[in-house]
Amino acid sequence: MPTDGKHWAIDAVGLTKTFGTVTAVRGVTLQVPSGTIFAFLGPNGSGKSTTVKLLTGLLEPTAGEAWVNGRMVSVDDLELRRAIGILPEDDALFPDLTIWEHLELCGSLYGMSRQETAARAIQLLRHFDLQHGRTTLVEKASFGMRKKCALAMAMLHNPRVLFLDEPFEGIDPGSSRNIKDLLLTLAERGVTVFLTSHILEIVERLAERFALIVKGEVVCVQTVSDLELAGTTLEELYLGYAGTPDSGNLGWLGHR
Amino acid sequence: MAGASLIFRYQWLAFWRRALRTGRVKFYLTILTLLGWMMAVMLPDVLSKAASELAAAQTASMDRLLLVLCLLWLVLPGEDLHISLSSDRLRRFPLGVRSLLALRLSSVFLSPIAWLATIVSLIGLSPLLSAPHPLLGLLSAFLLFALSIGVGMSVSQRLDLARRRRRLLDAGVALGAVALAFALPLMDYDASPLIASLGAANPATLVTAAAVATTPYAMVVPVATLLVSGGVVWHLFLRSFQRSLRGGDTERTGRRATSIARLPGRLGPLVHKEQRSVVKVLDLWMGLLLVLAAAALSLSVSLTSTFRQTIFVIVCAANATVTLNCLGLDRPAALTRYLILPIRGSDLFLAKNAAVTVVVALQLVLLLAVGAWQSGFMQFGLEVVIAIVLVAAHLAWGNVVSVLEPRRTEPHRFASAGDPLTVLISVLIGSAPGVSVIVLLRSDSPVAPLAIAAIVFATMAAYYGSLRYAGRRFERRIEIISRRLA
Repeated sequence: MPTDGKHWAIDAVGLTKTFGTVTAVRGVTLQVPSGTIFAFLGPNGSGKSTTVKLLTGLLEPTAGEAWVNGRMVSVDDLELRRAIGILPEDDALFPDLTIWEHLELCGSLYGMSRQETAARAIQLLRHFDLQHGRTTLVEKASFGMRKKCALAMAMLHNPRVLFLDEPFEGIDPGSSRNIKDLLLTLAERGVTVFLTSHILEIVERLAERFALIVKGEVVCVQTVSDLELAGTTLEELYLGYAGTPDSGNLGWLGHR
Repeated sequence: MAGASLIFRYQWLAFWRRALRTGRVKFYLTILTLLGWMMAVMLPDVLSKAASELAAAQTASMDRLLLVLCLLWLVLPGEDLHISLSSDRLRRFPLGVRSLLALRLSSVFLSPIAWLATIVSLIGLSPLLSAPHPLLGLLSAFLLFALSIGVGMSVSQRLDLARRRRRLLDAGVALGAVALAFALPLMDYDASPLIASLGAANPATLVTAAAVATTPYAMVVPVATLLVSGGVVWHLFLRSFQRSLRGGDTERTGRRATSIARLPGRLGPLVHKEQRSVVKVLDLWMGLLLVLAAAALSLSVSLTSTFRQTIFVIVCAANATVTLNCLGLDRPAALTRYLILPIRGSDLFLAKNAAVTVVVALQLVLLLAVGAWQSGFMQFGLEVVIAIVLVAAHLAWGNVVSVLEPRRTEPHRFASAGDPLTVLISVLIGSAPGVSVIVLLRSDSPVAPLAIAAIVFATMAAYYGSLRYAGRRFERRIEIISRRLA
């Protein structure tokens, strides 16, 4: 059991997930204080999304345990699911429902009244600049619209902890600005935000703390202010751990 | 065309990879064994009989054989192959319409069922060699097969186009119901008029007519008819195919799909969503078609309670392909959403079952009303009990199979692509309690009411148990289920 599970919004100890012979996440240990924005960084396929799934109870760990909002994470803890909001990697939407119907469905399942759901949904859609697309079927919606819909669903029930997997991917600059402001406001109000992103500039501006995962193992956990004190940037630190892929010989490209 | 052959290699690779991953290979093996065995046992006799008849300028056996082959080629292009490299996805590459069309056609032959159909069709044409005009007969037969494939491809193409789908389905159900309403009384009282009426409308007669023709006019007319009708069908298919490639038939506007009924309660919106998905499976429409035909028949004949109850059993059995695969229409992303939402796995299955129950209720309500009208309200009450037991038993067993053997279902296609043995056994298990109630209702045993009450109770308990089991297993096995449905 984590030593201080009740004092952190997120507290993971030795989380490991193995798929067959492949270990996707190995011994992830991290703590996130309440009311902070925590960024979880790493190259593609390093285990970020798997970690998010383990922390939210969408996947059962092979070893280790985690506590979120004072509750031990388990795949069948409905109270935990009510307390957290999740924006999954694949948006997890239903192609045959409209954006508005997704929010209605969500509100009903979180035990909200229709009036409350409608009022919150309208405000969220306005904030994400999505009112015009509310009657659009998800299968016909653009990538950005789907992402905003999934984001609105994650926030609709006013969760205490938000897990956002790549929230800024495919989002236009205006909405991106709105989302950033909203996340900062939420953190001020005591909501904990755990996000993954490849956009390091946004992470530097938003997050207080971050962790870097490479090949399934957390290699660095520190605060953004530590970077400034050390006179380095997040990009330099990231590339120092993750390295840069071999650029190869692309001399032929552009020549005819 | 070089591009098409290149892509076909990858199409082949992707098809078999998916078949192996999703366990479809098992389905192919079972169906090939069953069909292969049937063919090996039945075909030699049929062929020799048809050959001797054709030598004497008689065509009845060959007409029937050709009709079966014709129907086979009509259905095969609609087989749900889950092709990864669809024309739509290939549009981004520099491939012409011809290449894409060649790929679409060659994709039909990815399936081992198509291989079997090809072998059986070629062997099935051998009796034509005994006919007075074998070459003309063979030419007509190939034209007939081309016509069947063309019609099958056109229907399959149109089912993929949302705008035309509804019209096509409505027309299909209406025509099917009328045809069945005429066919049912024939089946009930005398089988030969049915066969005779089918024979009259059988395009296969054109093939045999050409093969045994005695005048030049009688030779030319059937071949010309097949040639012209095939040409028209293929022309329409090509036009439709080209339009679909240009995106002319896709809907970009915010279509608001309809649903049947919006149930109250916390799970109401989820049931609403499930209803919308489930009505896209064509199997459910077949049940509706049967009920409509029976209801139409009841306008002229007083239906016996046995007849109505048999229809209940058949409808529930036809729906079994849907109830046995509750998760089939969901993609991995949707499964993730179910886990994110604060609902138990059992809630999810309850919502899915409620959606199917609403659809089944709509299928059966007409026949129940006919029962009330023709046999009184006591009979109506008993038939409601039978319907509830049948539906609950099918759902109970279906929930268990859904998590043990999930398989992907494509909307607007028949879901009856599961392992035939599993489906057969499941239909028997699902129908057993309902059939037992029907039998008990006809018995004079004094313990019959008690036995019926026990069956109802046991079915409900089994249903509750299946909800718990399937829900729990869904939560624990989501990765495996996702992989099977991907």
